[in-house]
Amino acid sequence: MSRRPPTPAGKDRGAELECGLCGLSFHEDRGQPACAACPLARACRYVRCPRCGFENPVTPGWMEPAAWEPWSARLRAAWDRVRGRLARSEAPAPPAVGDLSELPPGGEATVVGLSDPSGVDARALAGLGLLPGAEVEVVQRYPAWILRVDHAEIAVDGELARQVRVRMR
Amino acid sequence: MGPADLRSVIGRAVAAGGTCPMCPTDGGPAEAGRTSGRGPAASEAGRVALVGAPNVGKSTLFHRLTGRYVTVSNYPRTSVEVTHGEGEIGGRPLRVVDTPGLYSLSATSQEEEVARRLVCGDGVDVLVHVIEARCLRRSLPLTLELLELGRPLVVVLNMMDELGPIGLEVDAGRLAGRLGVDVVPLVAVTGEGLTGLGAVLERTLRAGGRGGPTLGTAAETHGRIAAADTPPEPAEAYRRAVARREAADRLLEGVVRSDGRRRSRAADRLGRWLARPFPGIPVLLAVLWLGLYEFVGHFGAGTLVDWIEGTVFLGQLNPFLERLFAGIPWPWARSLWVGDYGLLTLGLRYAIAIILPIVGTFFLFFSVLEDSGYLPRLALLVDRPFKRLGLNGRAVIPIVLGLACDTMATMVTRTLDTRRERILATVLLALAIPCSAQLGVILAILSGQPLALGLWAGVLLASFLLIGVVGNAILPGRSASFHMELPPLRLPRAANVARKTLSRLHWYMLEVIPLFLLASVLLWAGEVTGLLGRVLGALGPAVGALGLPARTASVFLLGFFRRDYGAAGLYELQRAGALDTVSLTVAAVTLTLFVPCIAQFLMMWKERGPKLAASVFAFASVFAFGVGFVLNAALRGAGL
Repeated sequence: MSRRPPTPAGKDRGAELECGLCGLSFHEDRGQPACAACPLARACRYVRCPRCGFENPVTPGWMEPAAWEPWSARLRAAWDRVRGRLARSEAPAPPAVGDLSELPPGGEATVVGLSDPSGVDARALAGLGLLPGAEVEVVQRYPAWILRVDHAEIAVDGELARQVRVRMR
Repeated sequence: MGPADLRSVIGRAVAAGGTCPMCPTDGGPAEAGRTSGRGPAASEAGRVALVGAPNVGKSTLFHRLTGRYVTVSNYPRTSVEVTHGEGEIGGRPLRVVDTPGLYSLSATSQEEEVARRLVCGDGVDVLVHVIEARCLRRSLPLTLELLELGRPLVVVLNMMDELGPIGLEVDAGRLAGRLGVDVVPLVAVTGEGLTGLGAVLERTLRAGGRGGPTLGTAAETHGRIAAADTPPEPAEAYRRAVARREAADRLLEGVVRSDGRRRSRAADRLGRWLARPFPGIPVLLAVLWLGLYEFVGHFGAGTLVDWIEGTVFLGQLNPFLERLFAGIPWPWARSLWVGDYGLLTLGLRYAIAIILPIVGTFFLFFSVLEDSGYLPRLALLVDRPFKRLGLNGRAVIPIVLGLACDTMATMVTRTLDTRRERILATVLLALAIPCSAQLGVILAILSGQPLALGLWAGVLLASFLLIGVVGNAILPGRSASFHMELPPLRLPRAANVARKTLSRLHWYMLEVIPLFLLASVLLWAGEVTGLLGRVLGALGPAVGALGLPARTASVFLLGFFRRDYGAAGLYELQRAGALDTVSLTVAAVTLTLFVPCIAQFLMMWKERGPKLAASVFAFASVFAFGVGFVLNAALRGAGL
């Protein structure tokens, strides 16, 4: 059975059919009388062709594109919501203050300090320019963090990135 | 936070007026040193120290000022040794010191300590702070620290040519006005702006080292921050760094202008690509294969060595030397010079005919890599796997160098941050990293048998990982964190690469030739006294346990002298048909794992001390023979 134009809106049952055997186009209703005598007629899902008598299956309503329309719209909306949530989970809304490792690639932040200014790495981090006020952009996170600080790029490992407290932008 | 607060935060102003109590050798302010009767300033050499962060072009500038070049490194802090050079400015001799890179005077590493001593000591008239113009904001805190020392200072803004492409502009005049010192913009690689620096240095030196602005100007206006009076606690050091940074930010208002546009140059994009696992790792493998295997291994260790050793030494020089020394009547004295283990025929031949071409080609390859800015990206890529071995990405430099020459690589381990890493890297180099000469010969021997080659490579890789993981587990402490600057990718300049290669080669040969000559003498002494024969005899049973013929003992002994020479001995045995495939594989594995060559052993002694050198020696012997024994038993057991 080939595709037919969609059923006009408002008309629940009955569609234009094309007979699978002889190719005659006829309306579903025109086929019905042919088996009016059949006791199964009410439950029967077949429509007999008025010309050749071939039993054509009735197209269930849910296969009609019109029936799909509200669903596809709903699905699309749902998908958009999921995508939106996914996108947010990839880049969760950055907290106001966090550490550098929480920034996504491309994220920018201003350094506010170190989580442990008396730690062994404090000097190294200061030497790299990761001092309060410095503006940092995360270029890459894997296999190591690449940060852009003052027109220079530096690479640090996760352990160092986690020590730098930043205010997200 | 205003200047007043700054003062209270880090208020311990340098009452001594520039003395650095960190430096025991320092008698007092620079002026005191100068006036203590050293003769009239004009005839005396002007002493200039170049100071600055790693990789800002100090060494290039050093060469420009002195006409002598020492390694410039993209690998932070490679210029470990302090280098002096002499030049002339305005008819007055100039003595220039190139100091190791440092970010701050309160730093603690060994090299930074050296730099600080040089800067604070009284052997310097003028400090030249070299800054990468692009990173001015980050570098200025060190300038402030240097100003607090109260000695004449000149600020050099290097790599000015990189500002335009990133849309930055620096007003050097305004900065000079604010700091109260001369600020010279230049491009050290091309020499642009050098005459300006010459004039400034001449003027500053003529002013008798007194004319320099000191704490009075810049520091008082912008908040005086104490210099390193005591080694500050990390927290205190960080607080000071923050305060200096704030002062620097105020100084820079209106000095640095950016057009605000983000630019992404092709080189930057390429640089970022190379730092990603893909295509970074395939590129890395390709670079290593082309550079190490094809260029160093085939061309250097193959073509060049064959020509120099075969044609020049064995063909011409050795017969000539033998004729020359034929006049010496005593055979033992003659053999010291031209015998099997002669100083000239063996020691010098090895140094010139084998080491020179291999290490030379390697240095060339390495200099190109270094000047292109690729090395830090390489380090970044291997950081994660290396952490498992207790190392971090930085250690890739000595490990890769080890594939060329383990002796040189052992020397380079001193650039690693902690003692723990230096030990781990040294041990890995000694055991599991074959040098290019050895690699070349072993590849040649095993090339006909893919299974043997695969087995050899597999055992070696497994040993590398095993030793790394076990070493990491048993050595106290933890692996150090990884941080490194990523300089922009640059096209290497042929002249710089050539100069760098030659000067590296120069220093390397100076370090290594004496070791070779010493090894030569030791072997000669062993032969003359008959000790050599006894050692060979003692090795016999050990070799027998591996299922190898007794003749292989000499191979192992020679392997200690030169790793590749042992392999070459193996090659001869194979040609003679003395070894079957299993024996060959076992011998190749054992020889590769076996003790480092004598030069590397002496280098370990020098760098890490006799205890470590001896332990590695003992461990390597046991480990190599143990693995060989097990491998032999397993292969024979499998019925091969």
